[in-house]
Amino acid sequence: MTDQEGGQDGTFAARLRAARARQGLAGPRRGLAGPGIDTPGGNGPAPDAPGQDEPGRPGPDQTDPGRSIPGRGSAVEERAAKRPASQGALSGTPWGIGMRVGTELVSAMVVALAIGWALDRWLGTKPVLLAVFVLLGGLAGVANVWRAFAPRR
Amino acid sequence: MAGGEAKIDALGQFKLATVLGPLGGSVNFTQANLFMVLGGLLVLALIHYGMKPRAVVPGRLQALAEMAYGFIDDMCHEQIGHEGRRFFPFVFTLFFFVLMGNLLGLLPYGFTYTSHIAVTFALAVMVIVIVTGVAIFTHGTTFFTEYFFPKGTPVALAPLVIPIEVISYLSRPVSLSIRLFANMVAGHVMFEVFATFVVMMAGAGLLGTIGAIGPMALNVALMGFELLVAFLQAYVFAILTCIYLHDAVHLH
Repeated sequence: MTDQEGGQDGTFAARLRAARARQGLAGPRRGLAGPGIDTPGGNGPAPDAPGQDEPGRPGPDQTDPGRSIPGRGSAVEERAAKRPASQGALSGTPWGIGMRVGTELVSAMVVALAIGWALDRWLGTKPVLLAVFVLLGGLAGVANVWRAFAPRR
Repeated sequence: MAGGEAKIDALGQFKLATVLGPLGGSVNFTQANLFMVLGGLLVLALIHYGMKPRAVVPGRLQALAEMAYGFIDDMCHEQIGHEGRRFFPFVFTLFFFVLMGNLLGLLPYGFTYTSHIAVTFALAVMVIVIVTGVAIFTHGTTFFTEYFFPKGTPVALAPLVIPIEVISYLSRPVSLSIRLFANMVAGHVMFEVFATFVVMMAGAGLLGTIGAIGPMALNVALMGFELLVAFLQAYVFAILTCIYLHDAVHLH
């Protein structure tokens, strides 16, 4: 393979690597493929195996789309990405995290409001329980967020 | 629209209408229902025709079917643990139903049934009912004490902890459904808005026609992003279901 073909080879190599990752075979650095596969040409933009590169690499790990398709290259990447961090199950793009936190807070508050309102209506204690449950809803929202992002026991 | 006075009607695309003529109209069979049926049939077709060859070296369709199976199987195993296999059919169905909703909505003339909170909330409620059922089935009533009042909590905190835990538990279906619904609606509203920009600018003379390339290009890029969101949201829905099932099986 000449250097000229390196770029072409890169996409093929990336595809091969992704295919092997999908089958649960080793990462690119082990076994069959040897150094020919890992020519520098094909590594950077390959969207297929984002989590597979070594963690020190800033490039592909940083890009959002790659990081946020955790299912894409199957569980191998997932495992690789998750184990060392030992985070909650959903880590992702900053945007995704923000959305997650937002919905957790809002939904807890919605549920608390509904419960408080319904209890008030039922017991005839008009504003009291609603006020109490708004506070509890805020707390529950924070608890939700903590549960979502706390390290897993 | 002809006079260049196109109005931005971002939410009109989510309106339901009956399909299949008078027959569909008499039973209120809407596009949402049509696309649900279509999505279900597509997944069935994928599995059926994909696995028909039963080749050792899979062809493209078979590889897709096997990957679909393996993906969900791994997810169940990873998230729920050894007992996860039992819930594979449920998670598989859920994931592909949501995924099909998201993807079919991206096709021209498609309809995103996951953009209706009624659909997503029904799915989420189903998830939570099943999860609670599993928890009660596996642990009996200890589930309630264990879950809503974890061991080691001071008894004095009970009036605070129990309502919080109950609210937190009940907020799961809400957050689950809102997340999917909001993502889908937001994406499609953006499509509509930018597409209307294109029409509006094209109606404003030559310069506008040239300028219309901007929103057009944006829409193209947005389509790629929405494809990602479609997968991601289906994945999130499925994996959260798995996490809840894990909690139900193992009580945290």
